[in-house]
This record gives sequence, structure tokens and C-alpha cells, in this order.
Amino acid sequence: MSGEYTNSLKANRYIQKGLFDRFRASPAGNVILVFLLVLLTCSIVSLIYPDNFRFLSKPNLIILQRAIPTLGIMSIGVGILMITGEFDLSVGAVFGLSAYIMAMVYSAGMPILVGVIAALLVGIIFGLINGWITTSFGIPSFITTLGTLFIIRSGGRLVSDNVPIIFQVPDWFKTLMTGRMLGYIQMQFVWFIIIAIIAWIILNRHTIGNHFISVGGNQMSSTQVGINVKKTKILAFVLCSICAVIAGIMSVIRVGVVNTDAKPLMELECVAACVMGGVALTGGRGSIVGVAVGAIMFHLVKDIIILGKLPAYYLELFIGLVIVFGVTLNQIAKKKY
Amino acid sequence: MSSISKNNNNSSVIMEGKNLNKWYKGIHALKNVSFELGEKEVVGLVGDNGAGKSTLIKILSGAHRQDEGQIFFQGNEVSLSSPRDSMNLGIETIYQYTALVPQMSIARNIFIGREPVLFRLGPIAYIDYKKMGIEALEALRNVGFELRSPDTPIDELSGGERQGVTIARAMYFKTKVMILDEPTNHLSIKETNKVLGWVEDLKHQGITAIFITHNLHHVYPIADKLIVLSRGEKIADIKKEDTSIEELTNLIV
Ligand SMILES: Nc1ncnc2c1ncn2[C@@H]1O[C@H](COP(=O)(O)OP(=O)(O)OP(=O)(O)O)[C@@H](O)[C@H]1O
Ligand SMILES: [Mg+2]
Repeated sequence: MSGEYTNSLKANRYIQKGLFDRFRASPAGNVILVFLLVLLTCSIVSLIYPDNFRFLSKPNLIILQRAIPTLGIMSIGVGILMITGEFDLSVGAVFGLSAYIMAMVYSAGMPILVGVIAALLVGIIFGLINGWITTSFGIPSFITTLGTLFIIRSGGRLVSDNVPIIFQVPDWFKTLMTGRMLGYIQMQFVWFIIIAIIAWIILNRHTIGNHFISVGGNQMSSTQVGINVKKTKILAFVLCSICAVIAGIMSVIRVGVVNTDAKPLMELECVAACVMGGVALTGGRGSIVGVAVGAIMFHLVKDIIILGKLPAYYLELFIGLVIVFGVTLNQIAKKKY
Repeated sequence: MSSISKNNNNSSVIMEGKNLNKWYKGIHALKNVSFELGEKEVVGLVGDNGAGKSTLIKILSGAHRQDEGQIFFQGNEVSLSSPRDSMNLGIETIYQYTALVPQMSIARNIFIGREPVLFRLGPIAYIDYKKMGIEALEALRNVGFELRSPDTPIDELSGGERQGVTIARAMYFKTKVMILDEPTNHLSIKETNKVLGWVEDLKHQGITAIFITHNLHHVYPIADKLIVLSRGEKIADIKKEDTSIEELTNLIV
């Protein structure tokens, strides 16, 4: 029976279109292809000119592994939400505020885990608020979360009074979150991979993931088969916020300084990573692998620009081009194959 | 499409509506409509635009609630306040454009909201993905889709094939009453015939079908009974043998 199924799948793919075309037409197909090409090129160039282009040097590999997870983990949350058909522009603000809350609770003498839980609660509450307002009043989430972005940011300033907190988390926690394994592997990156795997399972193997995709793809038919659209969307908002909190915590404990001012434009960088990774702006289509690779690509290009001593604005130029051409390319690939 | 079975005449009633009324902001969209659906019956529901066909089936599918009147299912009065209620009883509704999620695969579409689960641990429900594929293939075989992979996204299918998937889904979930709202709209003649064939097959699988259409020529050959609505009122409820396309056409116009 199961062999029959696989055979029929194989036969079908063979009849209909080549495996390669299928792959390219899949949401993440193009970006994975480009990513592999860039990675290969960088590695080769670095092997030929190890002194001029230190791509494969240990410090560079460490820097990449530290930089990628922040954007990567946040983008995974944003990606799941976009697949469900909604946006969250407040992730950058949640990122900043939750890390500050953790540091504040911890500095007040609480155990670090209490700080982490407090930060997660803050994230969950804002996820619930974003989701509840959006679904209850039929407001586009773009607008809801644009509002909460400003509210959370100013709320953060109110809490912090613009005074940074300097703190040292316990060693075990620091090692667990940001330590190094086998000399070359950063824990941040390990967590990024773990979270990506969990997200993949949720999206592809959990019933709720099936509902995320179906709600994002066609809200009406989801309602007709009895899916609770409101609950499903709110859950996606909460997952998105949780990812932002995890990224926020991870990004501050290594340096041990935190302010509520998040890097501006973070939320848009997440959207960019998702779009590069083939997530449809209209919902219903996208893959976790694509989002993860999209986030990696972002930092890979940044790294190349730094290593190649190119002007920094090249990064923005590249991202802009990728968004415009990448989406166009995906569109063409989808039609053609 | 073979001959029409004759032994439906004394089939028992599976679903019944009594004095159903529905108002929309002053419009009396359904006026005291009563009807009976027999087991394994194909019922054609016809009528002009705005006659109240969609209103009636929305009530039966749990999407809307009647303002007055009762619904009985297998002899018991039922309250249908959500699509889930209807589905749990075995009433499945197919709307032409909204029944499927275009970006998702056939297999995922068949099982949305009713995914087979490998294990369940509190809030964790792990989909039995393999089973989903195998069962979807089986469901597709029921409607003769041998050559389609369950992994094919819906947006690669033709309109008729999409109807096929929804019908396969209803058959798979042992639906008792299936409501099809204009399933042959915008289909080619060939695809229309295919869909009509499937609807006729439903009967042999023990499923009652309500077939809504503007086109009498589509529903007449496969129907056992025809219900005609006009401006919210039921103006005819007649066995196919006792009427003709001409007579019905005159009623509708
Ligand atoms: N949601 C609604 N709000 C207000 N009026 C409605 C609504 N739905 C239907 N109506 C009205 O109720 C009446 C019956 O509409 P219904 O959709 O049931 O007709 P129909 O027989 O399905 O027509 P068609 O063949 O065009 O699909 C019409 O006058 C319509 O304008
Ligand atoms: Mg209608």
C-alpha cells in the first residue's frame, strides 16, 4: 500500500515534470539554489585567496553564527504568521522590551529563569493583544501591529527611562545559550537550528500547522470545514511573539547590556528574509527552510560586503534587488512549472 | 451515466425541514419552506437568481441559522449552529469556489480539520503524514483519479477535478448528505459530465445529494426528485417521473 503510494508519487512527478523543476517551483526552491551557489563561490574564493577573503576563517564563521540566529529565529515566527495570512510589525519592539524585562527581573534578584518566564509572558501578552484586536475587529494586522510597534517602543522607554541595564547571567545559562561547542559551533546557531526544526514540525506535521496554512490560503473554506479561524490566527501571533522574545534574550546575554531600543527596521528585515525565502505575502504559501535560508542569505551577503570591503549600502541595494527580483522569479517559476 | 434506479420511491427519510423561514434585514428570503430528503436520493434544487437556494443550503450546512422552523436529521430534531455541527452529523457542503485551499496539496485539503493523527499528547497532535497520503490516494481512486498524485497542489487542477476532490473528500468521510452548490458552473461539457457521473455515484455509495443549479439539463438526468424555489417559496416538489424539463422550465421562468 505505502509502496504503491510512493510509486505513484514518483510516477507522477516523472510524468508531469522533472524533480528539479518541482524543486524550483517549491516555495524555497530558488533561494536555496542561490544560497548554495553563493556559499560554494565564497568557499572556493576563500580557499584560493585565504588572506584576502577570510570567509572560511574561524573568526568569520563564529561571527556569522552569532549574527544569523537573531534575525533567523525572529523571521521563523514572522514567517509562520505570514503563512497564516497576517503580519507582525511589532516583533522588533517585542524583541527589545522582552530582553529588557528579563534583565530587569533578574537584576532585581530573581533567578534567571523567572526573568526568562517574565519575558516570555510579555511576548505572549502582546501576541494575544495583536491577534485579538486583528481578528475581533477585522483590522488588517499591518495596521494593528504598526500601532503596537509604537506603543511597545514608547512603553519600553517608559520602563527603562533610557537607562541601560548591565548584568551578568549565571555561567550555565550563558554557556547554554551563547557558548561554543567543539571550537567551531556557536550555541546560538544550534538553538536557531533546533527552533527551525520545531517550527518545521509544527507547520508540516502538526494539525495546527495544517490549519495555519489553510487559514492563510483560504479563510472561507477553512471556516467551512470547521476550523476556528480566530483561534488559529491568535495562536500564530503568539508563536511569532515568542520567537521574538527568544531572539531578544539570546542577543543580550552575551554582551550583558540591554536597552529597550531595538535596532530599527528589524521587523522589515524579517519580512525581507521571509520574502526571500519564498513566503507569499498573501498567505498560504511558504516553508520554514526557505525562511531560515532567507535569514542566512541576509547575513551572508552582509558578510561578503564586509569581507570584500565594499560600501555598506550595498547590502540594502542587494536586499532591495532580491525582494523585487526574487519575488518576480518565484512568480515566474510558479507559473512556468 | 446509466439508468436511473427506480427503487428510491419508498426510501426512508434522512433529513427533513419544517416551515423554515429566514429574513435578511427585511428581505423574506425563505418563506415557510418544508421538504423531505430520502436516503440515497439525488435531489435537484432549482430556481431563479435570488430564489433562496443558497439561503436554504446555508441553513442546512450550519453557516446560517433559520429564524423559524425545525430541522430533523434521521428523525431527531437538530440544532445546526456551526458548520462543524453539520459535518459531525454527516452533512457536507461544497461551494464551488471556496471548498478548497488552492495552495495546499490534494491530500492536505482532503484532511483539513480532520487530520489523521499519529499520536496526541495534550496540545501536541502529530499528523500521520504517510497515512494521509495513502488514504488520499484511496479517496481519489473512488472518483477515478488514478493519475493524480495526492501531493499535487489544488491550483494545478481544473475546475472539474477540484469538484472531484471535494466529492472524494465527502465519500471518504462517510458523508450522509452532500450539498453541492452549482458544482457544474463554468465547467466544460466533458467536465460537467464527469461531475454528474460522480454525483450519480454518490447514490450507490449510500449518500443523499442535494444538487443546486440553474441548469435543469444538468440535474434532470441524474435527479430522483426536484424542488423548485421561487422568491423564497417552494413552488414544486416533484418526482422526476411525474414531470418534464419543459414543465419545470415553465415553473421557474
Ligand atoms: N447575507 C445576506 N444579506 C442580505 N440579503 C441576502 C443575503 N444573502 C441572500 N440575501 C437575499 O436573499 C434572497 C435569496 O438569496 P439566495 O442567495 O438564497 O438566492 P439563490 O437562489 O441562491 O440565488 P442564485 O441562484 O443567484 O445563487 C435574495 O434576495 C438575496 O438578495
Ligand atoms: Mg446561490
